[in-house]
Amino acid sequence: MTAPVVELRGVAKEYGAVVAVDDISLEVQKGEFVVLLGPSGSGKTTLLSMLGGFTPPTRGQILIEGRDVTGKAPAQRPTVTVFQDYALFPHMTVRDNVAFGLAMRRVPKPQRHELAYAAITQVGLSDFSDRRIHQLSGGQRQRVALARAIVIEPAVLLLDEPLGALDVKIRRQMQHELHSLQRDLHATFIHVTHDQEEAMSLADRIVLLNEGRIEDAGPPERIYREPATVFAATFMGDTNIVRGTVSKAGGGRVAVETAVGTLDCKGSGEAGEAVCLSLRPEAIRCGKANGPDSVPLGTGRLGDFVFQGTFRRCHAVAGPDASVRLQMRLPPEIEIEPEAQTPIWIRSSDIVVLKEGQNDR
Amino acid sequence: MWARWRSQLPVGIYLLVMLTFIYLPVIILVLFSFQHGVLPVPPFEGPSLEWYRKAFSNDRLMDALLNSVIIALSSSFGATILGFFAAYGMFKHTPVGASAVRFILMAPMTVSYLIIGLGLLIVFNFAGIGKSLLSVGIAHCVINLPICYAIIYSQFGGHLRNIDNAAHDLGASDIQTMIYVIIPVMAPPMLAAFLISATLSWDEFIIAFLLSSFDVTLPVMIFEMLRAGLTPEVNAAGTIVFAISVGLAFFAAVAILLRPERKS
Repeated sequence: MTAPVVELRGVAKEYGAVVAVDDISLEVQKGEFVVLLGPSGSGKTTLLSMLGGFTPPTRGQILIEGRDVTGKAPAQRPTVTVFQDYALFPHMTVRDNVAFGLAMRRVPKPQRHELAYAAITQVGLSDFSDRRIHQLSGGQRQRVALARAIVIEPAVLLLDEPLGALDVKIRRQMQHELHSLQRDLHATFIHVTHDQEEAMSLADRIVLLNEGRIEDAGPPERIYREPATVFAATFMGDTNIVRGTVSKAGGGRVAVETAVGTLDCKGSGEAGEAVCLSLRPEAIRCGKANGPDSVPLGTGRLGDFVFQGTFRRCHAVAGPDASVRLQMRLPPEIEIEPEAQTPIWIRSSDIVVLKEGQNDR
Repeated sequence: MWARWRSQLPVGIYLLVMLTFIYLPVIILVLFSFQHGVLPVPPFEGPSLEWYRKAFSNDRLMDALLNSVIIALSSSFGATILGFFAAYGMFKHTPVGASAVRFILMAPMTVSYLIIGLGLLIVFNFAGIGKSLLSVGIAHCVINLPICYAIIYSQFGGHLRNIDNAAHDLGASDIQTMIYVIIPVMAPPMLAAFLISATLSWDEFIIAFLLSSFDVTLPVMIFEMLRAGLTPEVNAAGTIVFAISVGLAFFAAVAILLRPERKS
């Protein structure tokens, strides 16, 4: 493995008694697209700001390309930040905005214009290089901010919720473009967002933050399918958390006593240990169980149907005294009478065993 | 329609009375500068430009007018530059005791011009500058600095923080950031501050009276002419002062309306 392009060693940021970032260590490889994902207040923006050099860390070390940049100013780091509000220079044309970084590096004018034009073309704005910023739409401003950053070929591009202000359709399109831009440039991108769908569609690796700590880190699919903690399971899409107690363990499998019966699944633990099970809504099915690994969840009373286009959302009330409420996603073509009683089941492989963490309420 | 018009009538009358109260003296002043006679008192004896001709050929008056122009422009330039530096500094940094610094910057606004004038008179005598146009210029710079600071600081919005960060991030030094990015973005409020400051300097009397000796500004000159006796020439000079003030205020309003673009 080659040396990481970014390395954080025990980085922390405290504002008085408030801990924004709590002892984070992280490595980012060259060419990786890392998404820092978390709810507001999770410390993701503070972490990015420390990488960019705008916020000095309280403790810890930041290395970029093997150099310690902890105390260095933004200009002395091989990073460029794309800000949430784009921070374009309103009095300049698109070309002058993009060429600004080059001008500060004393690149001669003809060459500067050539490079700027290439970057503007790369983000698809070649017809707009003489426009002023206020003549552009939000999506176009976003592209200018990107071009202004990539033109100086930073080792790491830092993106602070760059798509937050755009409407859904343009956001999807920009996600796609960001992704291909990163592939074309073979550049390292570190992107901050609170939108788990955006994180999944962009990231090679998601770093999930909560209350200043790394909750889980890994490829999107792994985090979705096998989240490390209850927080990771609930933040990455919808899920049902069912609490239970391990009754039998061994051979890489556990049996967990829950309100919807004894569920047998993959996992480790000790008999008597309290655990949480994550059951994704789309994994819970209704009707007759089939297949050897199906696990019955008892009989559910279905209600609260909401048609959502690609699926039909509903709730199943199950367990003794109707104590468990499970969210489900049924195929839209299935028509079920409201309040119908039906057997529900899940595949054993779709059950994820999670330890009770200190962050779980 | 009629009912509505009637319900608005008392408001209209009130407005008319209020405007008359404010503007009648100015209208009288302007009207009697065109008096065809020797006294600027009713009755109005028909229009004449005689007093303007006299005013424009009065060398003392014209010298005072030029002095006023020079002092207004140079003191406002100084106040705007200093006000910008103070505002930019307070925007970028939060020094220990920031509110104390802010108070000190704004304090001259709360002190009467008479006190500031007397204080400066003592200081200038002590420093050997004495009473002169230079003293008046410096004094106008002192009284207008808080106003320039307040106008410019009010326009340093949150969107400028990231713009400032972005310029530094792209490799600009502090001075390059200020010259290539911050000053161009802040040009409209700086122009507004300059024009408002120039307007205030233009018709400031107390300090100019205390700190000038033989060379005087236009308001001081008008005061001297009044002591010599009431003629429509004073009205003519007053009208010139008024017209230029209105012009400056108008441009200041335009500059404020052209303030920097907010984030979209």
